[in-house]
This record gives sequence, C-alpha cells and structure tokens, in this order.
Amino acid sequence: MSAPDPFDRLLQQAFRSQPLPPVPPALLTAWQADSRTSAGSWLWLLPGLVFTLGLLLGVVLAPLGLAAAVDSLQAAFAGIRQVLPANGLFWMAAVAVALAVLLLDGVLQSRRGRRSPP
Amino acid sequence: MEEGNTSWRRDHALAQRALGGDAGAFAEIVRTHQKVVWHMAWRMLQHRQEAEDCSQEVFLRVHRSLAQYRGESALGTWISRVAFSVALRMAQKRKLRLDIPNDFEPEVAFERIGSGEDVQSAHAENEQIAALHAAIEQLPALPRTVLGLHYRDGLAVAEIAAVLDCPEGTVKSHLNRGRNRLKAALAHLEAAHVRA
Repeated sequence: MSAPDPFDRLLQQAFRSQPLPPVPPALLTAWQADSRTSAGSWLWLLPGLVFTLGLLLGVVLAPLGLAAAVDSLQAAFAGIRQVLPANGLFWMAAVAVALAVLLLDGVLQSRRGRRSPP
Repeated sequence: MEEGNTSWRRDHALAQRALGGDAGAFAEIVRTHQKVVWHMAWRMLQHRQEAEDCSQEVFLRVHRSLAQYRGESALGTWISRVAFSVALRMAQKRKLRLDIPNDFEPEVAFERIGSGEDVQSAHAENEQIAALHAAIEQLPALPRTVLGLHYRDGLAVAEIAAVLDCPEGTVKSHLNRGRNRLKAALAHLEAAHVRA
C-alpha cells in the first residue's frame, strides 16, 4: 500500500480548515412545520376564490354599468327569490363556472404541492 | 452495502412522508441536507445572496420533484445533483469563470512540491495552508467545487461523478487540473521566499 501523497494531505488540511460561511438560518425556517398553521391547508384556495369573485364582478356585472351592478347586487341580496326567476339560469351558470374554476385550481395546486415558494 | 440500502429505504420513507403532506418530514430533509446544499452553492457562486437564493431554489425544486425520487440512491446524492444543476445554471447566467483553460501552463515548475520533505520543510505549514486558502478562492467554480467535494467532504471520484452527472474521467480531469493550479500557487509562494 503506497503512502498518501503529502500534497494530498496538505490539500485535505487546507480544504477542511477553509472557513466557509455558516448556513443562513432562513434556509430552514422557511420550511419548518410551524410556518404552516392548521388553517393553512385551506388558505391555498383563497387566490382562486378571489380570482373567481373578481371574474364574476368584473366580467358579468361590469357590462351592466356600475350603478346597474350595484342595483343588481342589492336586488340579489335583498330578494334573491325575485331575481332568480328573471336571471336564474344566468346566475346558476355563473356560479357553476365559478365553482368549476375553483375546483380546477384546487386540484392543480394540490397536485403541484400545496406549498407556496418561501 | 446493507447499511447503504437501509439508509436509502429510510430516505425513501422520509420522502414519502413529505409527499403525503407531512411538513415536518420536509423540514427534516432540509435540516439534514442544508449544509451540503449551502456549501455547493457557496463553492460555485462565492456570493452570499446568490448562494442563499440558489439554496432556496434547490429545496423548492426538491419539494416539487420529490415524487421522482425512488430511493434508488441516497437522498443526499440526489439533492446534491439538484444543487449542482441549479448552481451551475446560476453561475453560467452570471458568466462566472467555470473551468481552468486547457492551455494552462504553470509559470513556475512545481515538481518539487509534493515530493515529501519539500512540502514539510519549505515553509511553515500554516503559511502554506493560508496560501492554499487564497488560491482555492481564486480557482474557477468547477475545480473549486470538485476539489471541495473530494478533499473536504471526502467523496470518491465515482460519487462526485454521480453528483455532477458526468463521466468519472471528467471529474479526474477537474481534480488534476485543480491540484496542479494549487501546486503552482504554492510554488509561486516558495519562489517568492527564495527570492527574498
């Protein structure tokens, strides 16, 4: 068995004594379990929900005009039974689309992994 | 070998737990491998903020593609491979010097370095070590990383080849050229002392 090369030994000493900066603590804290609350498992639905509500308000109601949109919302909240007969099918379709978007977004996010980038 | 398989099975089980949504399991993976990833990023990039961004990117990728880990190799090797690939891409983007030119010829003959007694007696050892530290920092990213994996982390050529995803010959070439560059740096130091 040949003796180890002295230069190799020197290199080993040099590399092992070389000061390297310590691991930044942020690296681990970003992934620690307690960074996610128990309610957090549902929070990932929030962006999809906000998007869908925005879509409903922006695309469905905006063409009616702002005043008309407010009137329509008031009408919807005040007496949904009165609004339903006139726009029932339209509302049901809008809600179905909203739910479908929400569901699809949820499924895609859970497949990708629910975690957001730290 | 049996011990290696047991360790891989444990890695695989940990990965499965993380895939099952156990955030604690992934934090454990990060805790275990953060040093290796950080050192890889630091050796390749030599820049604190870039190395930190690189390390975060590595764990993000590992998290996203953990399902691809089948437990056929050590999780550490798999994560190191991801780390090297991310760091290499960042180094290329920053246009860092990656390798020693093929036509590198040391200006000072360094045959005496490494011949046993000369290394021991030419200078005080700590002076040589300090010179080597400076020379290591001046090395291009690839040989610095390969030498670090070999001499500091104790990885064999085959293991480094697995991390870099390249033939063993390429690793040997990086090792030889890196060693020669460092020997040349020491020879410069010795020549300076002789002149003084």
